[in-house]
Amino acid sequence: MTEVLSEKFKAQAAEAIRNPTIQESLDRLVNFRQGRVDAIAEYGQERWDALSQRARAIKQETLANLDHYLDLFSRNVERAGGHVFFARDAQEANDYVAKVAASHGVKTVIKSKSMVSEEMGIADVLEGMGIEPVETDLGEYIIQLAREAPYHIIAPALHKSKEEVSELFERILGTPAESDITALAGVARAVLREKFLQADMGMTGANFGVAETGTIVMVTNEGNGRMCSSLPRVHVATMGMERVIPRLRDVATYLPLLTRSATGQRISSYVSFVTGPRRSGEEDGPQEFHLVILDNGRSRMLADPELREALYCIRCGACLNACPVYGKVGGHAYGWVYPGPIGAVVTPSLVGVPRAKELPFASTLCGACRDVCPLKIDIPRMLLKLRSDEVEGPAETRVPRRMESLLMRVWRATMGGPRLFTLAGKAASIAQWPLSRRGALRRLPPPLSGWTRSRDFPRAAMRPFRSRWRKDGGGDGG
Amino acid sequence: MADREQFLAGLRAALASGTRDEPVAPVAETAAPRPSRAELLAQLERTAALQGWHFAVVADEREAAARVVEIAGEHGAGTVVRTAHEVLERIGLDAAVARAGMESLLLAEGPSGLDSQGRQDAAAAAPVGVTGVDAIIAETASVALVPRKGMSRQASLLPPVHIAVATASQVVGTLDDLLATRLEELTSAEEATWYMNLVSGPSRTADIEQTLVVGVHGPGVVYMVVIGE
Repeated sequence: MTEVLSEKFKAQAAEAIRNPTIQESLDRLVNFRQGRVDAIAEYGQERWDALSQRARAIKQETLANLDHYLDLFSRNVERAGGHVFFARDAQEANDYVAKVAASHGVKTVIKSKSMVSEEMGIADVLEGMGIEPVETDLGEYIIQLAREAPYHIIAPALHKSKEEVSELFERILGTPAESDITALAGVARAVLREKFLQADMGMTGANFGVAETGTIVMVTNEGNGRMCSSLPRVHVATMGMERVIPRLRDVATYLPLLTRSATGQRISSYVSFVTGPRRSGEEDGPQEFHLVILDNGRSRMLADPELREALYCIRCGACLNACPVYGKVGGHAYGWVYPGPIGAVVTPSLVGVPRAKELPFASTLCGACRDVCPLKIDIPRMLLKLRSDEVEGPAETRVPRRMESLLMRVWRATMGGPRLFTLAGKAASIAQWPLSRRGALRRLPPPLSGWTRSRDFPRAAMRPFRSRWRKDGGGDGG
Repeated sequence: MADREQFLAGLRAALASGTRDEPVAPVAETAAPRPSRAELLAQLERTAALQGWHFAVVADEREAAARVVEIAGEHGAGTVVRTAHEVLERIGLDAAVARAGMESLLLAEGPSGLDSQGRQDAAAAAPVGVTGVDAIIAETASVALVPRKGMSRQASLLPPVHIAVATASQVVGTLDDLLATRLEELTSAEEATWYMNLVSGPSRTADIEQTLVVGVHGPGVVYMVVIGE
């Protein structure tokens, strides 16, 4: 399984915030946000909301009967001539893929982008066997050359400038420096075209698995997914077990939600429906099709009524684009495969809360993630649940939390009635004067000093709002 | 190693405490009045442009062949590779291509006289691929291609230019319309194995600085030629 670096969240976040290239890249997320808004407007808000509601209802029912749908799905994949392997964890999944590759004497594997294969860390396993794994999505190819993790669920190399890509190609591929983005893509096209034509195994993910037909559905823009599922003699797909949907027609529910939420596209350039290997009499296509269905911690989320909803996720990345925290700290801060708000829920659930305990706190709970989510997943609620799990955790973390709960009690008493509130406002404006610098409190005394180590505390107004409201005749504006 | 029964038993344990919901109706799109063929074509013309297709409606088969030959010529094609879609026979593609001094190669085992490697090499070297289509979705300007005997996966994938030839009667409104009709065909046992691609414009990426580049792996230039009635 891919190494978990989530414990270093704060240090990794600080590094991203100091890096101007990364901050510039993150500013470009505005394109995704705008694209999404425009695409929903084109689709029609009412129609969109109906789609979103139906998608939620279908997921709820599918997950409640996941054993039934996975049974049906896997039997239909087999009926279509495919092989199905159920993997409880990344290790079992890797072992199976390694065995398939070895039995076919595979030398080169072309891969299309798959978050599950990132979760597994299959590329390292293949490399260890002397097999060349080649990522073929342009963004994934770039980060593979840089030996980095994906930065964003749908834009893995979001953080790289064209200069960095050029330098990377120059260093590793030996191509001349290039400042034109089309030319850089052309370099990758030429290198990868050779790999496509010679590879003996293709690996892809699966955006959806259709139970009634045994079909996997893959969404790509570059055409690499088609190459990986058409040219090599063996096709191996990996899929998270929650990605199954009951009927073929359900694709018409989920596909617009996915592509319009992700990049604002009406539809992606290619949507591939793969049902088994090549048909008899077909001119080309793989002779063997294998599907690996992965649990890897998902059944823990399934069993937890408060976390099950996170399995509704269709990995569109809209919550990353909307999140004010992701927008500053970027993808690598989160330290594993899934960044952003959904990553802050999924990572602790999949790798265990102790190894990712900072992630649920990497949120302002503003709710933007839930608002843009096409499945309306209540991410803030789950972050709060994971926070409380963490607080209830090991004893040594409880001491400062006790202070926090005392403060919360004082806060509740103060906010509970006008008398204490007014008094506290006056007390604050007097008590703050020795601490106040340039309109803000830059450093609070212990035990509050932790809060101001990385941010300023706003100063209390000299004239409280309540007294201005009374004296300046507020209330007639409306 | 987990087998299916073990894996599913684990899921049943995880689900033990919850209630099992009832299945949800698949599609609840309000039954809008079926658009006329002219309306569908007009919608397709709009979305095709937005999706990056070069789009043309032609009056008849002869015009379709002329348009395909013209496009192939513009791209300097000596050879075009093609599929066995019936519409390409009907427009007399091979003869039209030959008259223009080019060659047409059917990417199929018998007719091409090439083995599988030979066909892949030919597709990879060809400047232009021509196919028919199995359906077109107006809402997203998506061409549905279902590979089978005579219908190579590669003709629309490896050449840098793809020309899709269709008839107006193949245009449906939405993805759901397409899937609802496909499902009936696919329930027969001999069709349990199938592959379908929806192609909705040129191959594209925006993976470097969110700048759009077309033609990164698949065709960068795509044409839809629709024969009207």
